Amino acid sequence: MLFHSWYFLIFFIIVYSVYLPLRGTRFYLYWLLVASYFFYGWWNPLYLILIAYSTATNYFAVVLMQRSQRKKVWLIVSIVNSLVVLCFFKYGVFITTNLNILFSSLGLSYAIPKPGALLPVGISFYTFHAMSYTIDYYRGYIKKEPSFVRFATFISFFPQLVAGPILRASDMLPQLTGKPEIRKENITDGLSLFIVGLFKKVALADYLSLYVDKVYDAPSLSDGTSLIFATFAFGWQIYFDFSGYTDMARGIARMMGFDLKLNFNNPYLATSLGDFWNRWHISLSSWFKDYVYIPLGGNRKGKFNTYRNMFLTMVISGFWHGAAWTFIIWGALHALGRFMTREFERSAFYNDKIPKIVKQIYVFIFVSFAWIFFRAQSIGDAFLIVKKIFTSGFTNPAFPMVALFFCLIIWIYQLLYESSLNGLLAKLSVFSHSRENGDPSVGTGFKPVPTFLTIFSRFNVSLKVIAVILMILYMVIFTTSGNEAFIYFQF
Amino acid sequence: MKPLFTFSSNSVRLSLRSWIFVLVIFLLFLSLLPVIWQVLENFNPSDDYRIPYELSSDYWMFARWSKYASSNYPILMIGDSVVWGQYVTMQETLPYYLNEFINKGQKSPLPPFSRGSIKFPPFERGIKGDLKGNIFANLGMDGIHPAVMLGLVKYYGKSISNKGVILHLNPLWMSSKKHDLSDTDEFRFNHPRLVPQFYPKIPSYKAKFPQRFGIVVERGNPFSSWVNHVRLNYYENMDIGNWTIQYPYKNPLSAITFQIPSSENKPHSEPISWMERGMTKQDFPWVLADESFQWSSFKKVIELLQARKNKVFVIIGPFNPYILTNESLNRYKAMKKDMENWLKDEGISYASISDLPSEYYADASHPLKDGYAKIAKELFESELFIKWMKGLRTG
Repeated sequence: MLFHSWYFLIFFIIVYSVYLPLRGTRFYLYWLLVASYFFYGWWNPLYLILIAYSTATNYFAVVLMQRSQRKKVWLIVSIVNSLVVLCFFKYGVFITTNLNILFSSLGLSYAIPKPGALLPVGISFYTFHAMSYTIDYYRGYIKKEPSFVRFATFISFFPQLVAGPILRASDMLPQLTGKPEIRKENITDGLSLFIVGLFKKVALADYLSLYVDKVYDAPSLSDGTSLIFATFAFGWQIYFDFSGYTDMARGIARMMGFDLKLNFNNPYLATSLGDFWNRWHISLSSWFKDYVYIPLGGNRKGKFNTYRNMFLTMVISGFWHGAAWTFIIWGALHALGRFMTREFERSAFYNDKIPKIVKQIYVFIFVSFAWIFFRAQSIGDAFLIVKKIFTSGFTNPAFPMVALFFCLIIWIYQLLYESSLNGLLAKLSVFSHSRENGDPSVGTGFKPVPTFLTIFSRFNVSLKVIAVILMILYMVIFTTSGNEAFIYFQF
Repeated sequence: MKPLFTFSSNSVRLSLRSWIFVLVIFLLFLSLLPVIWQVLENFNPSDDYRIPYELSSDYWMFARWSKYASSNYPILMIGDSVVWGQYVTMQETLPYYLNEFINKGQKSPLPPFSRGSIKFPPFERGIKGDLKGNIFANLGMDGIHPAVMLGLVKYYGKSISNKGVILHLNPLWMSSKKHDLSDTDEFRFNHPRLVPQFYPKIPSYKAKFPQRFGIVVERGNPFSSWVNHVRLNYYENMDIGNWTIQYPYKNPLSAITFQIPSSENKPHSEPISWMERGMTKQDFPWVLADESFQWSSFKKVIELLQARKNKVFVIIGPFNPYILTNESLNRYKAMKKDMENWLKDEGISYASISDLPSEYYADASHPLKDGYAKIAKELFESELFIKWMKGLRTG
């Protein structure tokens, strides 16, 4: 059930209208659990067995940890269990295929039968939710959750179930403990987040995918210039797609009185690769940092170990995204990028002398280059694309000007949003508002400001309203909801 | 304490007041844009106008044309591509020849008929037809089988009231259970957005609930059909994304010219006979009239039009008897007889078109231009038709 479908609209109207009167009672948890299981079972009712199994095993692992002196044993049992399930369903085909290739190259005639192709949607996400609970309990960060229903609701909470953001038990369980409070800000913020997310998905990501798919599905037929444009376009497509989904997820949760953490923070404004990972899929990056990188030793045991840990974390992160060598190479490329730039990015020269915009462009180009391996259908395709990009001459890419316009406008908006102009605008808003209300003390010390900025600040609210109206009208008039699935559902 | 909520990495965060404002503006756009568009977009239907073939699924256009035709023509002819004129030019369709009889009489290229006894124009007080004095308007649309004709008239033909309506029934839609939509196997038919979505249940229509629900919402909202019109008319039936992929360097706004394409005055398909086309004998199984979903839908169209105070005349056929095997032809005749009986019992004027010469058929149901001329002549020689027209004049 996709957020941008009629199915979901009907589902949400029903769920929300029952949820609102129930939220003051203890029954709201049961209702959320039923709704979440219905939402997940919509894809395939068989998936419910798996999520129920994952929920139960992790919950009872903590129960056993609580009762046992050998907590570590139960932690290991729980982690191994979660990873075995994840590996079987997500990596079974990949592992057997590669082992069979290995056997064949060694001259062995034996071939391992491939497991069924069932890949439950969102398994990587809820497995990580569940693991965070058991690990955090073992570390003493959280207490055992007394209510199985509450725990099951945390694991299956439908807004974030299939594509995150990845929740921590310590963030979500306390929110499910009390009775959710829904103020008017919850509704207005939720709607704001949802509309922006919907626009990102329907109007931008699905649009860019038309060009990207055309080029990337047949790289041998595409020229280098088209591949360059398609690569940059894919960078924006995946950003709009995934951040659009999480915006919608956060908006829905917000309307229900729950706060999910920010998952994307204008990643293409990053000024270093480290900065990029602090802005891109933040919930996953921080998960890997806390549960893989730091347990491996983090940066505590010298440079060699730091880089080794970083490399392992990035490669595992790549593998988490998909059962294919292309994802592993993508992770390794990012690790390599961090190796090569980490010290340089810490230098005074990099921080003080190089203009911010240059850094942002360099990070964007590197990240886009890595996306080639993420998007290509195979390693062969990926290398072909790289070869063509660097060897072909310039040709007409036939890239739509409208798409270019959208990407540029959004990039400029993000630049402005993060620039000091934003702070200035905020001040101007206070300044002009207070002056209008006759408060002479406010505004003292301000230099005269350019007229257009004053006008801009006064119309700030109007601009937002106009932007939202335009977004809605654009979606209604010009886009077709082909119900394209979100890219991250496959992970 | 609950941690502070981080809203987002953008500032598009509206207050309740702003959201209410957005809602009001959006609703205004929703209701006013299609109306304003009618003023902005030029629509000057030519003589013998028919909806351009490429706009055959533009229901907003049908609504506009039917509204225009209702104000300017006393008799509207509704049907599928047989009425529209699949194999003929705009000056060779059935409505065209009917107008020719009215306007030219003796000068018509067709054999003379007893025009003198009927003073047709001016047909109704204040209604003079188009510039040529035509009184029959061609409201044919490709693929409009009875099940969708009901939806078309119900939702997009609301302005058709107090008119004379000639309703054409193409028997081809009853030639098998599949075409009758009464088969249980899924069948992808024309214009699914116009059929009943929930009741009565169509066995061969397998759309999922949200899709049906979406269609129901869309039909009640002129904005949706206007959006479809914009896409069909200006963006080659594509959304803007696909259109800009096709034309990467064009400004999509420049495509909006506020001009509806005029109907091309040429046959949509090659005007050759069914034999030249290489078609062979068919053994259509046909359905029984009593069990036919299409026929029951057609009856509902008549009821709906009558409820809107229209005077309905039904034309059954033409249908190519030479393409049928003997057994199939007998089954067809039996089905047609049942339909005629029902029309007779209900007191509805009708004409069952006689068989045309074999070379006048382009396929199983479409005539060529000579066929249309002959049908027009046959109608004006039909007492029932003349009586029905006189009834319009006096009624």
